Amino acid sequence: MNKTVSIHIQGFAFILEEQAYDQLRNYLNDLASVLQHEEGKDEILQDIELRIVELLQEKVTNQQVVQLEQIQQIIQLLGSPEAFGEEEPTSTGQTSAESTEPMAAHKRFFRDPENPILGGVAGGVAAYFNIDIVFVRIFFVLFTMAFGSGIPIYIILWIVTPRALTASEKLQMRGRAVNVESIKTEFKEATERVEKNTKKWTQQFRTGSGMSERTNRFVNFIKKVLGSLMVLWGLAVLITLSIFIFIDPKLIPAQINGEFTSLGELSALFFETSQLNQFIYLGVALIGYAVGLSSMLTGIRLLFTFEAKWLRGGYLAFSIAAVCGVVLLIFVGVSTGKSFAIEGELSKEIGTYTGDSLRLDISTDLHLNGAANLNANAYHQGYRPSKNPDQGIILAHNGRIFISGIAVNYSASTDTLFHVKIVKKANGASYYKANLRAAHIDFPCELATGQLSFASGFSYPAKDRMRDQEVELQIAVPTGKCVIWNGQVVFPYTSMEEPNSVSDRAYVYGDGEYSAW
Amino acid sequence: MNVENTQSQMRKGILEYCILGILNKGEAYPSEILEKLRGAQMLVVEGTVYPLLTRLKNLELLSYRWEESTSGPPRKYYCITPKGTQFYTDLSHTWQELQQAVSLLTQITKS
Repeated sequence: MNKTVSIHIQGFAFILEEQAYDQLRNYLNDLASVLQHEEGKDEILQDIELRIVELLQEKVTNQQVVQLEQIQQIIQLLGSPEAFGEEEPTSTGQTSAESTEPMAAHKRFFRDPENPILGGVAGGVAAYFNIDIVFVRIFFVLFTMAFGSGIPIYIILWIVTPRALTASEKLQMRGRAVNVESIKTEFKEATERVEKNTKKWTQQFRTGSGMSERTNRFVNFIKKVLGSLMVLWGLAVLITLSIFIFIDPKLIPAQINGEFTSLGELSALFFETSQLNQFIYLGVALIGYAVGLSSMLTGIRLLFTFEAKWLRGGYLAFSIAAVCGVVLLIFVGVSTGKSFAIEGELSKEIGTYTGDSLRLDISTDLHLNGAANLNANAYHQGYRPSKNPDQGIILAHNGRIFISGIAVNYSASTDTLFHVKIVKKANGASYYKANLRAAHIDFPCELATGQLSFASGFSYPAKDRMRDQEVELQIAVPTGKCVIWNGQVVFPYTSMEEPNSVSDRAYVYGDGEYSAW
Repeated sequence: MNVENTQSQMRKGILEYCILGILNKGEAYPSEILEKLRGAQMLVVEGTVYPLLTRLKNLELLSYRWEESTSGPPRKYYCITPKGTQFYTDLSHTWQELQQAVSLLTQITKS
């Protein structure tokens, strides 16, 4: 089974085998280039085409497909293009002197199709200047490295110069004499060729056919590399996403008891309603799966160059899914952002003390509501009263969220008494909601006989969600009196060491020295 | 120098004269001319004839007219111009002189 091409020559229609067509087209192209110098070139070509029509009509009866052999016979009968070219004008006076030189003396610049890497430009240059092709290639590489100019030069030469196809052209490519005439015509032809080639190229790029095999191979190689990368990337996205959504591994080191929590558990503590939490997961899943799958699909298409009708629909579906995901994320983001909008604050003075020094004590006895089985030592470990305590550690337990680290602020007292005040803060969509959250905060704290015992953390109901809940102890210290913690005076500051100048992660050990964690 | 090449060169050189000779007898279209040349063993390849015809026409030795054909493409009938006839007569003289000279020379070398 063979492909056929339907053509018309001088207004007469024929159906040719594809190979026969290629041969005929090449033949006519060769003729045209050989007859380039001939006066009345178009007329000669027209005559020859008419002759071809005649011969074809002799050979094939109505609507029969023209075979390759028949074209070959016709070409044999008409003669090879060289036979035409060698017919130099002899009768015209002014050209007779030149015509004593055979055609091969006109040295012309052709691309050498016999040993190309890309287009055979280097081979043509080498033949033209009669030097080894290796030097030409080295020059191209050097130019490319030096100014990057090798590449555009190569491309221009590639477009501008024809390929030496026939024997006579190959002869001309290596011919010796160069005269002004041939250079002149070369320039004229070059402009025509650029025009023709750009047209041809745009068409070739659209159809992807006709590119030289080497270019094709290069493009294919790039396609394969890109395709593999896209498949791998897509697969990585899908696997990561699936792990987080379906397996929900405990990866986040946020727990007081040294255990890890999972992204799912954490986000459940964060988003207002379980619906919003589901939305956020759905949104991420839609975007992630759309990106992952479309990346894999594109990669597979590049790898195996397959096309199908459903592809367009597939990409459209992925795009819609991704857009829906983005919309969901925006919705959740906005509604969650709103629930942070307003900060509420409740403060309460829990008592006063008249003595000279107030002792601070982190109480391990003060049990945290509903967290009886909590390792209190672990909870309090490393805590020291400071303006900005480390608040990183959380724990969800029995429907409550436990946060470690409370802030302790000192100020000068307006009278001769120590004043201890607890400030609870939280955010919400309204003052009411924010203050309600603040009120829900449980912070055990006792002031008795010169000792302020408090827990190093606080807790609140999990249904309140994490909304920047904070607890601050405000201690007003009268002049001349001091605050003692762990046997050390912590206020007024005894040395240059201002607690806040140390890293937030600085903790005090038994000997009272600071040490970075 | 190979024999075949010399032969084809000789034929080509005389081809112009032959074409004028054919058309001197009456108008003809290229396929007819080709047929006659082929019959006289004068044809190397058909392709050589076409540039020649155009060249002769451009030199105003030949002129042509189109004629529709029932069996195929339109035919380009060539006929010789007065200038062409003159040129042909000149060529005939040259040819006769050459022929005599050549036959004389070859006879001498033979004997």
